[in-house]
Amino acid sequence: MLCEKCRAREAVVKLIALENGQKVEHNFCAECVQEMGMEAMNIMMDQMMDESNPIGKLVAEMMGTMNLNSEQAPKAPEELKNIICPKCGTSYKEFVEASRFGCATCYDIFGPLMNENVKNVQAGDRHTGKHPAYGWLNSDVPAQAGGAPAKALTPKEEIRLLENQLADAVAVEDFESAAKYRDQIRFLKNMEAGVTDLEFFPEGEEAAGTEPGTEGTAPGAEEDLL
Amino acid sequence: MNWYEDPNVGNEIFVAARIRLTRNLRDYAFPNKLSNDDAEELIAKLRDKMDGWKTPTGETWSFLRLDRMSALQKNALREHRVINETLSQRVRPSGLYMSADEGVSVALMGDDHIRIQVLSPEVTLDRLWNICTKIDDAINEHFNYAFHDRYGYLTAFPTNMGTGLRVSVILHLPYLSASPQFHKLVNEVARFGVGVRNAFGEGEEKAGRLFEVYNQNTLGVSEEEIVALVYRLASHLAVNEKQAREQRYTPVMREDEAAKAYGRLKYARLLSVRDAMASLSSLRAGLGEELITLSGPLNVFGLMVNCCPAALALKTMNYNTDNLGADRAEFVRAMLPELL
Repeated sequence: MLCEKCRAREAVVKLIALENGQKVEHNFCAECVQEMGMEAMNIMMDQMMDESNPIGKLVAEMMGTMNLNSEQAPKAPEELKNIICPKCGTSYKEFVEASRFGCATCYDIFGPLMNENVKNVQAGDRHTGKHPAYGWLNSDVPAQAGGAPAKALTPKEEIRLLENQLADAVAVEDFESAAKYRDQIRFLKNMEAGVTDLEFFPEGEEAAGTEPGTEGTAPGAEEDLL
Repeated sequence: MNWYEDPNVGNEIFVAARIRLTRNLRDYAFPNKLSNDDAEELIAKLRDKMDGWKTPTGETWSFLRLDRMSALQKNALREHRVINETLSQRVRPSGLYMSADEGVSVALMGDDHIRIQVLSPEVTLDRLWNICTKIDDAINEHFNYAFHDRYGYLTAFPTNMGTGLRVSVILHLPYLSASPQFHKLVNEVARFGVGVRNAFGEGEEKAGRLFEVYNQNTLGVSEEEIVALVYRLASHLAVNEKQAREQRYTPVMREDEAAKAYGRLKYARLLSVRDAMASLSSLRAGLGEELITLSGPLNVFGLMVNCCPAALALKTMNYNTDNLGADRAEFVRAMLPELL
């Protein structure tokens, strides 16, 4: 999806706002968000934290994007560091030090601060598995009986998805991820071919050796990731 | 008889499987932030529904108050892998439903409100996942879970959020773990979000060379994908174990190792945890490959579990820990069939 401000770059920051009781989704690229400045982000954060603000229930979702450039990784605004979960009393400091949530509400309070790190410790930043059949928190989406349909991928499907990801990573010059995908693809192909030798990964090969093939990247491939 | 003691289970590379699911209820703070009164209230509410239930496998289960059990009993349960470190040290209100063979359990008020776990010597992950998800659904019929559109099932630790699922396979890797490439292989497996660690921790028990292969990611992957991934990479390690032993040792060398281990176990008068685990590991390897034969069936993994300190004390009803080495030697000797 293209950024709705510059209409040129891929949107990587999604903002969901409640406007006149309607859920409105905005998509921006990292550059435009930075242009709009941290000030705008702070306002959104403040609105989000302010439960009494009727139209201010704003959910900012930074999809692990602000650290595209790690030197520019945003620091949590000072005022956020004073936040305490209104339900269980967990403080920002406590949350960071123990890496531990105190209650369900903590996820709404501290979740936005954690966004950029989620992908570093998890396979993705969005739940794709089972849903409870009854009454779930902070959702207006009805639960599907039996949970979200999710089938295990065959190794071939997995290779295809990884190849798409690899192309995406190369396109944005994220060579660290590209190398990871390349190795996974090679590992899977070796497994497919029945090769179980330990020397899968000769040292010193560069990610540049992989074919680009940016074209034909399946949209929505990200949702199906490993 | 506990799940790990079934004598008719073989001694192959695949040892056992464990599936654990964490859940929290919507309207209460997580256990760490929960007052004792609220914890008591929550336990009472859960017990009101769950006390009469049977496990999806048709077994009855009993309820235990963990905070009223002795440290020895709790440590034994930890060694049996029924509860984790947090639960074994809980002195605040906490409870445990457990089937008679300890294979199916639901712990209350550990790190999270609910911890559903299934343990089995058969590595049939789909079946075990099915048992977990049925218990999960049954609880959800009566209680609202803390669930988030984006973060899935909400858990105390961010490392569990999403599915709340941890799938592990215990593998016996005596030859592979001694090979110089093991470290590298573990790193390669980690690229897939699958970790490998000592199944019994970093103490003397690790001489048993049992390794737990488990999923590190819980968010952004579905339950079915996790199950398939862990199984696939565990299988891959098992293949490498076979290669490692065949590449580096002749059958006679491996038979010799197993027979000597049998001798140590049969004639030792003092066995430390390390001695017992190392020798049992070698014995298991020889039995699994059928290089040596015993006069009767022997579940080596069960012996390993029962050789852990608290488990041994409970098993032998001998609580004088000064003599554990001698007790362990005697216990193992009594369990060993004859070498043919």
